[in-house]
Amino acid sequence: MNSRVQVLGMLLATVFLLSACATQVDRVGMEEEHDLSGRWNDADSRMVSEEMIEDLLGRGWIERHRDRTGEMPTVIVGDVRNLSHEHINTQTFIRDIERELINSGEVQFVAAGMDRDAIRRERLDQLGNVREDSRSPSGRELGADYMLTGTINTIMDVDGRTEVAYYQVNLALTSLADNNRIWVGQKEIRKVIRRGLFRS
Amino acid sequence: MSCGGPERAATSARLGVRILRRISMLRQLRTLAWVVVTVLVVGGCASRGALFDRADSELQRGQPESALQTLEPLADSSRNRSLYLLNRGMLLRMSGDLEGSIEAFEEAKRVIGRLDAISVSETLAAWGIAEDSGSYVPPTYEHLLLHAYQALNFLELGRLQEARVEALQIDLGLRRIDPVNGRAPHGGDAFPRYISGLIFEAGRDWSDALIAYRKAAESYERSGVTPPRDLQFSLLRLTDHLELSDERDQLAAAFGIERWPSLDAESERATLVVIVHDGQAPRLLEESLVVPQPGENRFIRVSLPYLQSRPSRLEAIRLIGDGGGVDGEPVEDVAANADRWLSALMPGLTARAVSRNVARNVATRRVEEESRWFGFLFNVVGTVLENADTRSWRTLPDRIHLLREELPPGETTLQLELLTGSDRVLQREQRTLNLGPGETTVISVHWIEGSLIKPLANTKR
Repeated sequence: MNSRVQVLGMLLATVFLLSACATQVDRVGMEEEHDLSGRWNDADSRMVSEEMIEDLLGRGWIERHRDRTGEMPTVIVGDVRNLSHEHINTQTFIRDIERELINSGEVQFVAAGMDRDAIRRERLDQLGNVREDSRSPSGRELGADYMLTGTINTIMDVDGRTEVAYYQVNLALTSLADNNRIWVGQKEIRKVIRRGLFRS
Repeated sequence: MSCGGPERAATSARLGVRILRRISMLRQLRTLAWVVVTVLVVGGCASRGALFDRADSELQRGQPESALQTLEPLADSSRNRSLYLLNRGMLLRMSGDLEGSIEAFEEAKRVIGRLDAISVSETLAAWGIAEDSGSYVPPTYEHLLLHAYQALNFLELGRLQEARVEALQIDLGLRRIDPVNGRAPHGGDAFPRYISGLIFEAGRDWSDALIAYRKAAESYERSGVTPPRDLQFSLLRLTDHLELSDERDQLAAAFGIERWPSLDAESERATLVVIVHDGQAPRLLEESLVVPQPGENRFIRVSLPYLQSRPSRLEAIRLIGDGGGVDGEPVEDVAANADRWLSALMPGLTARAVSRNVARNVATRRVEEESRWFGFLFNVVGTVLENADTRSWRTLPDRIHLLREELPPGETTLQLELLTGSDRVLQREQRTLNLGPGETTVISVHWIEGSLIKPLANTKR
């Protein structure tokens, strides 16, 4: 009897040990923050884009544009340069900005960069291959009134195994007609990273 | 168990034979011990060292793809993961797969970052069992070259912004080591700083470029090497441009340069940078000393690594164009960095080797109290396991040469000559390049034992 209990105990222990080694995946909500490395992550990108676009939309330039032209302003997102010490995918940050701008309903938004090139290629392709009545005509793109550009910078302070990462995101909205700076926004994030002394 | 190569296998096998010969009174055990020693030595040593030797030969035949295939079995070894990724990144680079190389180097950075913390079990194993029982953590000079090669990957793909990230990571890494001066303790930071300067200058970040060049020059001087002429001109050009006249005059006097081309921020001229990665980095081999313990059936074995350099015949590079020839110069001596690093490491390695022998001796005595035969076996196995850590990033070059030339933009035909010390041409490569106005084009060539592995390619920013 005793030996059976021992065998059962060993089997259970083995199962527990093996299950601990297995890969585990947990689905988590987009709102939940998981900062594993201290580097720039999706939560930073989302938070900065939301706050900066909120600031951008609340500065009165949209009303002034409407009063002047009678139309909603059209915005294009240009280059966001990564000047930080990390390889940051600025495309995800640009997508977050675009989403916030479109969802605000306050401005019209036009595609830029590779998206625009792909659309133009498709339109060209339609010329020879698509029924005439369903073809999208060329030369009718909406021109942007303003361009949003920016930079992501970092300043790192190191002391032993503790590091302070200071991220500074600068965005600027410029009038394409006269290079007039309409809005300049800045958002900072400070992260304290304590690198562990021991690993398993 | 893992060892350094056929030489080590042979040394260990000879050691096993010597041990067994000397213990004639334990005849019954001889057969069993022989089996254990043979299994340990032949089974283990045939692995990593032999793979690297084969990969070296394939590289010497100009076949980086085959070398990569050869090293593939290392991919699943968690202890050697960083070593595998460093070599993978370099071999993919040599094969022309720069995107693949970037991916491998990025993973290497993540793995090495995790190894930054101390593993208690690995540290105890290094002190108690064998030097190479822990994960491979590259020395500082290799870590810096990882960033430098990643920066070159980006530069050759024309991705200056990402190369700039690497330059910042080089600085951050050095500030982690030395927060005040940002210096590498045993050198190896000169070339990475120099490349950082080139990157900042290509991006027209003049002040960052000057700071990087200054630090590069300081590092060369600390290592007892005169800063390359191109670096001297760069310092003068930038101090002049930034109106730091006192510093400029001091530098001009120190370098003995009276005239230099001024920096024209609006210049439409193209900059061509040619980098030749010459030879193979020195490899680490093991030297063992085996001494019988007086009055006991035990042995003491101390195994320490030493460097075997593998210089090539290449001594100089020259670029010949319409306007004449431009000579390059050596900008990085990987072998010298490895030598300085190992010299600094040697006292610690010796102390650990002694501590392992003491620990083994104490443990053997305990086992002998239970059984003389097992005690003997324990000592034999422990002695065979006593290995030096001969792991290193072996696909690095022995030296790096660099030349920079300002050229008119547009299509141009250039000839690169790789020369011996007596000016004999080892290899001549001709290419037509399309240089963009105001742009910096970076070209890399890997030269190993007569094989021009990566030929000139026209990549530009």
